[in-house]
Amino acid sequence: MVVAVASVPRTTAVVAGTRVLDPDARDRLAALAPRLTGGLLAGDRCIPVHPAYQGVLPQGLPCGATVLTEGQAALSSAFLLAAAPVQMGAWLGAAGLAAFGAQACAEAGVAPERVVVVRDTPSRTDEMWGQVLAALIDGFDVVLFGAAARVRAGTARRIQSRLQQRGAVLVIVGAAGPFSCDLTVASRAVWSGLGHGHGRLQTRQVHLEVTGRRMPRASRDTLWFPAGDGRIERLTPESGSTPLRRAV
Amino acid sequence: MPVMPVMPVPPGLPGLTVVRLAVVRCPQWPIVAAGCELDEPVAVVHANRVVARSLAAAQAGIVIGQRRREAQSRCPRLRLVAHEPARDARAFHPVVDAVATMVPRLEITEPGVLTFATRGPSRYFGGDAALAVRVQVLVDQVIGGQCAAAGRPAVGIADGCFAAGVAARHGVRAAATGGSERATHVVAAGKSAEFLGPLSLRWLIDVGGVGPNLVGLFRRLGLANLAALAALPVADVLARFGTEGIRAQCMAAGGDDRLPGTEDPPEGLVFVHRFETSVQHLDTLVFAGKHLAEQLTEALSGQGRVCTKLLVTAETEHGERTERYWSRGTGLSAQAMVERIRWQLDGWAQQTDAAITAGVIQLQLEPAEVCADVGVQLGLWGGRTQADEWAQRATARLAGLVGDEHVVVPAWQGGRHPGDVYRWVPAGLSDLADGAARLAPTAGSPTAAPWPGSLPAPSPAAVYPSAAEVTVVDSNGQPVSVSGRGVPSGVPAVVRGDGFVEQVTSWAGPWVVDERWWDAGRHRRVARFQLLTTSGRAYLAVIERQQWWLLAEYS
Repeated sequence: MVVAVASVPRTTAVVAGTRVLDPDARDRLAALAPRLTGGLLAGDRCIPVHPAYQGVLPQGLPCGATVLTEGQAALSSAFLLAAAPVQMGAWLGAAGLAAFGAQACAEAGVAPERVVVVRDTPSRTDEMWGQVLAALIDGFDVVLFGAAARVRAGTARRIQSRLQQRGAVLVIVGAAGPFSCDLTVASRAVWSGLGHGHGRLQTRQVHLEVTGRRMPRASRDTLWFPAGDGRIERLTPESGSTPLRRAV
Repeated sequence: MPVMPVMPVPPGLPGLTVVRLAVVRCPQWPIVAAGCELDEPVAVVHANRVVARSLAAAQAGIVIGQRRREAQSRCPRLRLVAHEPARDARAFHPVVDAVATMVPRLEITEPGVLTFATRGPSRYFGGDAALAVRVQVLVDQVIGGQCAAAGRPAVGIADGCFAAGVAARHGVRAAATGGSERATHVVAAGKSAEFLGPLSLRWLIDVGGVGPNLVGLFRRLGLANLAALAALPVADVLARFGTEGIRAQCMAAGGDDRLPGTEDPPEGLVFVHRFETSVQHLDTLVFAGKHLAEQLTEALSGQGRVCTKLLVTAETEHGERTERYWSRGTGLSAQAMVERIRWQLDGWAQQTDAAITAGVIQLQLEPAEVCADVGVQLGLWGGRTQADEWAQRATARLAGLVGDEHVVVPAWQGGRHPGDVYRWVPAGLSDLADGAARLAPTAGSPTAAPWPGSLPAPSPAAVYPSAAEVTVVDSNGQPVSVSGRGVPSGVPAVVRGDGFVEQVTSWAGPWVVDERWWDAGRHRRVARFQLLTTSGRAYLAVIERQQWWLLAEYS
């Protein structure tokens, strides 16, 4: 709001603490506010997320952010984070994920034609990881990384400052290692459909808990990931028990 | 025969001069590349349609464009081969090399078809007819034996690309009917329009690449042959059918020279890399070529253009040279250029009769034709975007950092196990701009079939690169096994692996799958289980020959 006052030099209003001398100033400021919100700061730019994430990340993912996904659905919730940007034309680069399931990635809604994976070799040094991550961040809008524990703190810092310049999103799967994460997506999975010698894994409820540096408190949500018809959606009270089809 | 390289402009086509071209055509090239016995019916299928067939298959009633099932019902003995352009290009190298001994600059229009300008060579060899016969004899010597099942190679010479292509097809036909001694067809200079005039409009589809819809429309409008189309007023054709119509008319009049919209590149745009010491390794050369290709595309894209025809030249220390034209109508990206440099150098290095004797000291790229870069429409949601450009650059850089084989992209393969459905191919070997082709199951190939016995979605997110060895025991501590009839010996209760022990809360299976039982070497009989443990993790496990493995985790 201080910005707003500065841009209207002729006003007699002086905003000092909560005291406003000109009684009309507040109204005029209120009228100006919508015109000033058009320009976003670099830190406020966000990339969209899958509708299932609306409950926990209503703004989307801030550009330049480092996100950690952990828990029982760490990898698939990372795939789901990448789904909406990749569908809109962004590319997904992955490194340090030896067990990258391309089919599950496609089922999460990521277009596989825009996926590039850097294979893991055990001999890769810290310096090498630094170069690989820098190249990934330069070229890809969403980067999945699964070997954070093998990177040193200095490299992680350099990578993160580069990430903020470029405005990409780094999703770390599993353990954060030396990376300082802006957001943490913790997940707990409850499978259904599997019996004792019968049925099959059919639906899963994923309980998400998102915490972050800029979030005053954790936000929680539950997803059908997937529901009985293969869709990925938020668990709403009315859909609470319906999506599961009869077990085979 | 007097040679007139440049013929007058056909009526109504301003400023176009037509170059006299020769086309060498090896009919049904994919069949030759796939390898085929003389009387064996073979068909190459792509997207569920026959794209090439052997002579024996043609006698059995197989025609190009037929559906796979229909072709199989016509001829049950038919052997089907999946279409593989890279294989075709590789197999075509000997022909290219042989013709290159007579003609310095060739364009490989597509595997199986070579185009070159006849002006110089036909003067040297004593006229077009003599040149055509010489080239034909040479190609026959190189590849004639292998071509027996597909048809004899032929040479056609005429003014303009389309007319030369049609002439080459006439040569192929003449050779097939056995009417003429030599499979050549030379159209006299300036007579292309007369030669094409009485022909059917179908040629526009077969040789010119005009859409069947447009040709069908021409027919319904009462145009009986190419002469009728050529006689229409140009302005009216443009107004009614747009640039595609003009292109078709241009071909019908024997006046097409190059792709519409292309122009000569700016003067002096040549990118040369001279090596300080001669280089013998293909990878080093390709890497230098990549650098040049990036410079070239950058220089052209600065002017809003893209290269549609490229001349790649390499020279060894001893003065041996290879020169090839490569063209692509939609424009060559840096990656596509690198691919073609690799093909050319690879073929050159594997040449048997005139093997190169020294390392390469110079590599040169020169654009031969450019056109305005309008982007390539890839699909419904397509268009080439900045993000694609960046990602492709980053991929190239990553391949340079960690090695080509470690930067991979998924490609459809099909299979019953989660790791089999997509295989990983090196990004450097696939065209990133055209991901749809890589990921669509190739119809006609056996992988496109449904995979009975594969597990339904959801698929496991973490597919281990190599399966983890575990033991699974029942509540009495006895190892669980599966009988030949697919009955488990007990209820899985505990999974014990390298450094972890987990209790099984629920499970399902065994789903037995018996794969490739006809092939002793690759036969695999496994029973699959889904196991859910107390820690909430769900695994896909298999038992094969009494040994349990964890294949994947539903993470």
